[in-house]
Amino acid sequence: MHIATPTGARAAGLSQRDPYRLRAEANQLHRALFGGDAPTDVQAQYEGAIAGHALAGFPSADLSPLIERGVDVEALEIALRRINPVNALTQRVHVLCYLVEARPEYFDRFMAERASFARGLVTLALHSLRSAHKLVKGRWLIRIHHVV
Amino acid sequence: MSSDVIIVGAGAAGTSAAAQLRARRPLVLDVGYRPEPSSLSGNLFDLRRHGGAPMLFEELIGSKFESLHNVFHAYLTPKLKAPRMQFVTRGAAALSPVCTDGFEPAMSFAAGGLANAWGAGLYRFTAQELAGFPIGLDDLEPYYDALTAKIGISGADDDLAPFFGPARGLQPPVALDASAQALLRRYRRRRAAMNGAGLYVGRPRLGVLTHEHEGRPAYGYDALEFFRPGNPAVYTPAQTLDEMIAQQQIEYLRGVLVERFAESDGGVLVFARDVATGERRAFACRRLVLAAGTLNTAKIALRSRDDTASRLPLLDNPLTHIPLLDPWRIGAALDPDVYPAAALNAVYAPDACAPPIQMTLFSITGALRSDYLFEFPLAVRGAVAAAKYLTPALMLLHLIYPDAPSAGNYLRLTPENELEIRYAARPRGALERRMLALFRRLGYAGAMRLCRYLPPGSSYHYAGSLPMTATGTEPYTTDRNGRLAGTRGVFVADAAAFSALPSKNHSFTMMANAMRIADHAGRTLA
Repeated sequence: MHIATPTGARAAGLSQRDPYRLRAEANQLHRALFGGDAPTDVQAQYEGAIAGHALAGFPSADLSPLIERGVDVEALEIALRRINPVNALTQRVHVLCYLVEARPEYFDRFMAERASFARGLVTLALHSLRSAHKLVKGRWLIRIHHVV
Repeated sequence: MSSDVIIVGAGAAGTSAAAQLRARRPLVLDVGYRPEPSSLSGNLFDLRRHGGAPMLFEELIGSKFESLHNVFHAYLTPKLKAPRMQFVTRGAAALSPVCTDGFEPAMSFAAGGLANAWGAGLYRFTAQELAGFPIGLDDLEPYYDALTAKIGISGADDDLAPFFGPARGLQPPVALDASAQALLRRYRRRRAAMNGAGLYVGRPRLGVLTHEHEGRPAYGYDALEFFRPGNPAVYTPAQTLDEMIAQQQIEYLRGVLVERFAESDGGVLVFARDVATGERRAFACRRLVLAAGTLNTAKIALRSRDDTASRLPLLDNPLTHIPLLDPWRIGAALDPDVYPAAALNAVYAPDACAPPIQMTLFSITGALRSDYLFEFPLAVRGAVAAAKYLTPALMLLHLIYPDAPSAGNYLRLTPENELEIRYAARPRGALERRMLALFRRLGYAGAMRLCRYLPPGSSYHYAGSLPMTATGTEPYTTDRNGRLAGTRGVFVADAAAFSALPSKNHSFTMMANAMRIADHAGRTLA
């Protein structure tokens, strides 16, 4: 398994990130992945989690402006993950997923309480196609924004 | 301070040795970290669905975001990274620094040791598995039986009995979730063919009560094992430790890190330091039982000789995780009433000569879905959907490799008082391919590219650094009774004394052997 290895000065700077930008980032990511703004306490938790850890040094490009501009982070993330599973965007997204999963209002996003083979199969099939599209788009985004 | 017997460490081996020597009221020296109390009560999924626990976020994620460990750091098992389980590995890096490249050790200075986070799998070694040891099954059986009676072990007399030993004294097995029931049904329908191919599937032997036992309740299927320590229905050595402390059967000194020993006329001096103040302390005894865990017991032995040159062997069980998908269970409903730590066991034994390979089958319900979300090769929304609809269809096959001494796998004490550990990862793949082919015949899909070869050290089954030999005279070996070569009164009771490491969880044998060694050490005092 890959191990996160943040690099020197950039890693040091990351821990002093602007809390307002981090909360805005949480909102952007949440809108892209779960729809709508993140709950206020999730924004605060996201800020605390990201500020308290050094993100991976890959990619070397600063992703914050891209996230703030509303670039398709889901597409960018899967493309970056294919290059290196330990990357600063996957880490951000992963943090958000942990934070929302722990909340009751997201329970049914992560857990199926009623059995439905057909719904499960169709959902996964559609997401497989969607993920393939996102991967292609993500690679294009990496190229045009010079992320890697 | 002077005692007949000092025992170093209060993990599985230390508490077993102490219990056997309680008539002598041994002094147990331990660092002894304890957990913070948990507020979790009731079924995990009910709590998560309704948010019923006031501290739910702190218990699941942590006020310091402990559960996010694997996002930023090297992999830790879900149990060890949970907020209330942090005490298990607390302080290890500072108390026993390690320098290594590629070996990822876990050490515990908690009261009860790493076993606080175990899955409670308790398996007897067979005569074949003890072939490399200077002791046999007859030496261990009485202790296996005593532990079974004391702990309360659940399991079955099934197809795995030839590999797990007699089923006497077992409680009925833990209930299976729907995934495991489906697997077992399919196996039974194709039993003859599977056995012909060398695959056997059955119920695990677990220190999990299905009936009330000695004042401890039966397991309530609350699925909290990954987050809440100290469930009385799930045996951990800390329960025995607390019982002995309460009944004043041992003298337990907490906050003490033993560093080395020296033999003197008629006894052993034990040198330690107070972990809080740094104050040096010395204790005297007639017999010293080392049970600090393989890595730290070996370190104590090396440090006692100021030896920074010798390389001691190190055994570990390399692990592979193989996801198996039951396509017919896609979209199945959440099964909330589970024991999440082990559902079934499988053994691959294609012929009588080759050592059997033990595997555990887990449903992956108990952990947070985010723990494995990014293992799905999907965009994030798809991964969340996969977590929802695929998790009930997935089982994780946890394959345990045996190990034997190898020149490239060793530990050494550095002049800076660190443990240097070298362990070469071995090539794998053939066994995984075979298992995928066999489980495909049971209707399970899997792929080699989804197999995860865990880094060396991930099993936490370290052993063999001070191995028992027939003579026990070579430096850094022990005789068949655990006496450390070159000493009169020092015994090794943990897995450092193992001569080999089969493909099997070694905890139960370590405990039984610790009792046996403690018995002998006590007899030498007569």
